[in-house]
Amino acid sequence: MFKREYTDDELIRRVWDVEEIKKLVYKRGVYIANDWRARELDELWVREPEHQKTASFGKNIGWYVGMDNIRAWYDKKHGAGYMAFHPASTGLVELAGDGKTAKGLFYSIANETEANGDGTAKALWMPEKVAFDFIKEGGEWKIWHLVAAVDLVCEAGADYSGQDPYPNYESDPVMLEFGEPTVKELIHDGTFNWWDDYPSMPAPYETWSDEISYGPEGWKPPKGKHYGAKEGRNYK
Amino acid sequence: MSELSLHQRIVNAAASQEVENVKARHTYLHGRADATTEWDEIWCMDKNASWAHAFGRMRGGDQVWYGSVTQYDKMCFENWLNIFETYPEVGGKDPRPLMEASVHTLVTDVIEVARDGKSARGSFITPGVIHSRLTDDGKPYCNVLWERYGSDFVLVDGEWKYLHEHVCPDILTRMDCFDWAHGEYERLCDPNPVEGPPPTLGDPPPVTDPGPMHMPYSVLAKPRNTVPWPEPYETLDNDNTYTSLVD
Repeated sequence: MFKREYTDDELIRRVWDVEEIKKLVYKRGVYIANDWRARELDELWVREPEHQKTASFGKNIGWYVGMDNIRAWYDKKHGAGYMAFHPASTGLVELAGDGKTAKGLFYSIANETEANGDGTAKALWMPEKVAFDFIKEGGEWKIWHLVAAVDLVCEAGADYSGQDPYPNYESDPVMLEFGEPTVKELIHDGTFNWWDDYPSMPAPYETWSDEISYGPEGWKPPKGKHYGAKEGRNYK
Repeated sequence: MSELSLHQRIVNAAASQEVENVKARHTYLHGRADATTEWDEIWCMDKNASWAHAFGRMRGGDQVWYGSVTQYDKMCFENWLNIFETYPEVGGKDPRPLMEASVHTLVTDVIEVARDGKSARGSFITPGVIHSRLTDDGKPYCNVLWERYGSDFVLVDGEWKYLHEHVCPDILTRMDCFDWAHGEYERLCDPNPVEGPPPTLGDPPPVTDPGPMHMPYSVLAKPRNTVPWPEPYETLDNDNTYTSLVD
């Protein structure tokens, strides 16, 4: 495992950096709650052109890549009756040995409330693992890659056990809202709980490489051919 | 208490973050039911290792491994055997995460690093979700489980490791379906006495210190502060620990 010795000066800077990163993630939760999507992209995400090109935002069915594509999907104006809470807990932050990037994994027992077209409204639970790659730009930590792997979606007050065991990502309201990502890939299939281990825990590391990215460049399918739900069911 | 040097304060601040990461690694490993990696990599499995729950306390690396790895794996493999005929696509997949994702999120971290820098203590509240889709009755489920943790950690060869865990379950019910407080009231008022829900999954493992080590929510009782937050302390000893130490 990667391990480096640090001077006191280096170590306290690293401690400070990790606290700044956690604050960034927690602030994002407030931006979401206030429906400040455009502000989130402008203020919390990468600004340098090279990083903007490779920025990505993923959910179970793929990633939007590039800030222009992320913005085209994410920057929506919601009306009255919309509210979303994605509070981040269970923070696991690994700062690179060189201090230039960091990776983080969090869990959120999230919910979103939206108005239906007929004046009624509904609330959805959507617990999710949320993974980030962070990069320092001009002394400030920014979100570079983000993956929100939703475990299940259930209407508040409804009996989840009444759902089909197989999630249908073509009719799932969270994935419908996610639209048509730039890179389409089933990266987290809730059918098998956390068997696919994506996004996985960050490991200590010295310096950035695309192989460890939470963007599409770092994704590897789970081992074994039989990945998809219902494979092997036609043997009879 | 001794006055800490600036150097030791910096080291302890970094230690606090490392302990937070160890605790989070527990959550993510347990979410995959990967007990082997959890107890192999993030625990100090010596004679002082302990893991306690409402049912009692396992002590020593061997007993903790048997209860937390062997017995847990058994449940996972039994679950796989119960579902593979209905869901043949589970073939070739690690049976452990297929049982359920038991996700004990961490909030309200209170962490104290000993002034000697050799141990750390933490208390946490964990609002958790436990869910699975491919089950033997064909129905997915999601439970909510709220617990408290009292955790002790030690520095071993420069790495922070778990030494003691005390899990205190308070609320367990199905997500958004039941009123757990009124359900408990109805259970107690039932003219035909019924057992309360089990404090944990499966049969309790063998323990050294028998329970109950914590009582969950009851309409008849006040909450138990079983694992109070740690106070600043000098060194891990029997006044500052969640499990009494063995010489």
